[in-house]
This record gives sequence, structure tokens and C-alpha cells, in this order.
Amino acid sequence: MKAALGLWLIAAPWILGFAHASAMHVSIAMGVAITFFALLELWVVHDPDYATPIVAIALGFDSVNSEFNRRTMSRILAQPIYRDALLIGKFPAGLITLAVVLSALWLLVIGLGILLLGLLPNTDEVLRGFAFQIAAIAYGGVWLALAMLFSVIFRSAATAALPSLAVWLLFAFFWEMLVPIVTMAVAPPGPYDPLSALRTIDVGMDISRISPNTLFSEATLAFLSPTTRALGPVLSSQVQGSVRGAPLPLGDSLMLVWPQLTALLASVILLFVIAYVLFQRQEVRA
Amino acid sequence: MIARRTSWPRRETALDLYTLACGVFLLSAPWLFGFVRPLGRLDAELLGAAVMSG
Repeated sequence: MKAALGLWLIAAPWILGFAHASAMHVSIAMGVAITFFALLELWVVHDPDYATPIVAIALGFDSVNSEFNRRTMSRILAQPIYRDALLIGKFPAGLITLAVVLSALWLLVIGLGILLLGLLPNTDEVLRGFAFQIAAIAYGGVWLALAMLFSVIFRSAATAALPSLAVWLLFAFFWEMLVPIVTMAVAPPGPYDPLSALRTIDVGMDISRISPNTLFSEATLAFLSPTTRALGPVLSSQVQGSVRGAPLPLGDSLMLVWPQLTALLASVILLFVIAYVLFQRQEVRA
Repeated sequence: MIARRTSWPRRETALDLYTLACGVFLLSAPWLFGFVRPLGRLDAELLGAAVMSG
């Protein structure tokens, strides 16, 4: 609602015909501020899982095909640069933009936290926030690389945006529904083997972790909730001697989600490499 | 099993105060800056009130 009011304020000078007046500057400035606060509220109150992919896809879905559509690709590549310099330049540009956006939001949220709580974060909390920030950038990088891959494959920007959004919708909303079905088909628990139930849970978690959303959720959980000691099923024999509710040091939390972080970074590299190979083999003339 | 993060409960935050300040500024802008265009004046007043009430 507030975001809609902000957007109206930005567009109002032209719609209502008071452009080039002092009212226009106030309207646009206030519109930008109100829209920004509304989006920030969405970010803080709701799950940041949803905002990062949208921003990343928006940054990447027309990065390569727009050059073809504007007929600037052959003009750029007529300069004395290697062909891969284009893709190697475009991807970090999008990633740095995403990192700046996420860092600005992160710092604003920290500032709001200090204002509201009246407490300064200690070193461990700042480092945990920083680690979360790295995970968020890697998570955004996956969606940016995916959007860029579709941007290389499809010449129309709209056609490239649709599969990116479809993949995001699949992982954000439908993956949780599909995982139990696939798990039951692949590794159903045996009625006479109690350990097979454990195997079913493990297989289900492995399938669930194909989704970058699951990887990011687990990384977030371990970094922002220091009492998280495990991300899978834990047997009672494994928690003997542990102090319930005691926070883990940052190093241990990092060890807990190191596979998730590695998988996120590997996904970024894999998607970028596929986009790179496809782009290198493309016909760029005309 | 994995304990999923749940949505944080909605409560008044500093962001609401910032938005309220924007609404007050917008509502008082026609008087502060002496808007001439009647539509610009009306738009600022209505939107300022809407932002404050939202």
C-alpha cells in the first residue's frame, strides 16, 4: 500500500500535469523515500529469501540479449577486447550492484536494531552478520548467474525473464511440496527397518538442498541463530554431554554450514561457466 | 529436523516513524514551499494524509 502511494507520488507530476514545478521535486523526493521505506519494511518484516532473487533476476535477465536487441553487441565486440571480457565484466557488475544493495539494507537494519534495542552488537554478532551478508550475496549470485544464463540463451528479454522467474517460483513455493513425493519414491522407509526412516530423512534433505533457497535458509539459520547445533536429524546419543541452548562459536557455526556455502558458490560458478561456454559459441554478428 | 525461520511479528518500528515524518512533510509541503498548482497542492495533501494514516 505504502509502496503504491510512493510510486504514485513519483508518477503524479506527469499524470496530473504539474511537472517542472516545485511540487514536482517534493513529490518525487517523497515518493522515492516512501517507496524505499516500504520496500525496506517488506525486507525486514518478511523473509529476505524472496527479495534477493527478484533483485538479482531483475539485474541479469536482459544483460546480454539487450545488447543484441539494441544492436550494440557487434559494436562493443568490434573494440579490441576479448569476447569473454563482456561476460566477465557484466557478471561482476551485477554482483557488485547486488552487494551494494544488500550491504545498504544490512547496515540500515543494523542501525535500526541499535536504535530500537539501544544495544551495540559485539564482535561475534558483527562477524555473524558479515558471514550472513556473504551468504546472501552468494545466494543472489546464483539467481544473477541463472538470469544471465537465460539472457544468453534467449534473444527476447521477456522470454529470458520468464524461465528465471519460473525456476525461482519452483524453488520458493513448490519445492517443499515436491520433495516428500520424490523422497517417498526414491527411498521409502521400510516397515521392518527403523534405520531406513533415518535414511529417508537424509535423502529428503539431500533433495531439498538442490534448492538454493534451502541452502540459504540453512546458512541463515546457523549464522543468525548461534544455538543451532545441527541441520539434520540428531540422535539422542549424539547430544550426550552437550549443554542445551548454549551458543556455538562462530567457527563452529561456519563449519556447520560450510557445505551449504560451498554449494552456493559452486552453483554460481557452474551457471556462469555454462553461460560463458554458450556465449563463446554464439554468433555475435548482426 | 530443520527449524525454519518464521515471519517476524508486525509491530511499530522506526521505519513507521520515518514514513510518518515523510507524510507530515508531504502534508505541510504546499504551505512550506508555496505550491501554486491546485492539483499539486491537493495531491500532496491527500497523499500526505494517506501516508500518515497508513
